[in-house]
Amino acid sequence: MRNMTKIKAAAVMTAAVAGLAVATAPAQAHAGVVDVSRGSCKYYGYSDHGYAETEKTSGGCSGHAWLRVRINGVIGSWQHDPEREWIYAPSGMSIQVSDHKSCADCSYKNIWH
Amino acid sequence: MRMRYGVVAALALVLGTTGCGHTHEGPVVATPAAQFHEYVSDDERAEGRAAQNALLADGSASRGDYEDAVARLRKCLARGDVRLVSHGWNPVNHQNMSLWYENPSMPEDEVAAYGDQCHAAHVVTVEQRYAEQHPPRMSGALLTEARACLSGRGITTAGGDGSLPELVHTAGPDRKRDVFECVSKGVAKLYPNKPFIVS
Repeated sequence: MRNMTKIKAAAVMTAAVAGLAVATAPAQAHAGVVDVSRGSCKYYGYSDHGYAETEKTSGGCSGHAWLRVRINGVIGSWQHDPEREWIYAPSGMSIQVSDHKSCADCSYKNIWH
Repeated sequence: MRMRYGVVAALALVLGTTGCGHTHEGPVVATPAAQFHEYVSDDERAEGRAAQNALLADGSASRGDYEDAVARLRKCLARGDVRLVSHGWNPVNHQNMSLWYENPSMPEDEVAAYGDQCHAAHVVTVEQRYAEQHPPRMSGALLTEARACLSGRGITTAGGDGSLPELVHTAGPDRKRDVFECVSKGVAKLYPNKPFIVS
């Protein structure tokens, strides 16, 4: 998964920097990234129509990586993990919004597709 | 997936895409203002916390305790005209219930804020205690589907694997995505149109 994720991220990075349209799978073509870092602790959120994640990439903060998705206008519950929380959209459904935060009581940012 | 901040900034650029059912192109990042607004009164928060503490007074969180807390959550949401959509216990882990909030007439961020505040008042502590006291276990039928799918992908699972973390451990970190995909496929087959989260 890490290698696949790096490849996916690399493709998107290259496209974004070059300003080129990327011929990716439909879900990945609608991908977004958000920074929910706080202080010296780095947390990032990512989502496309089929997948979402929040990851703590560095820092010694105790806050978990928190993630929630919204599907067809219905808002789900928060999920969390000490390092990386990820959600696959239920088959046949599409993530419209993903919410990301870096601790239970932190404010959050979201990615709208 | 580890990225430098500068790369993240580049990635935050709106990718030129079409579709997604919105008039803008590509995804949009936002900080919802509604989350900073108080929708649940201090009295309700206090009552909710007291009710949670009462449920946990015997030191344990049972399924009945969790379901009682969810019943209070439903009433709290209803006061704000938000509907609780419950799909019951999540067959992926049986550690939490699949709870969703809905009101098509209200801005989504407000529905989310209302849901968060009611959940914090009435459920969060009971839910957390329940998960601590009950290790994840996958429903038998879902486990069977997931195992068959993984076998088809050349991944042999152990007879004692009974949860998503155990399947991931057996499959190895490089095959984690296979595990999640197989479990997702099983969910779609066994529980069509049910948005059970695989996480």
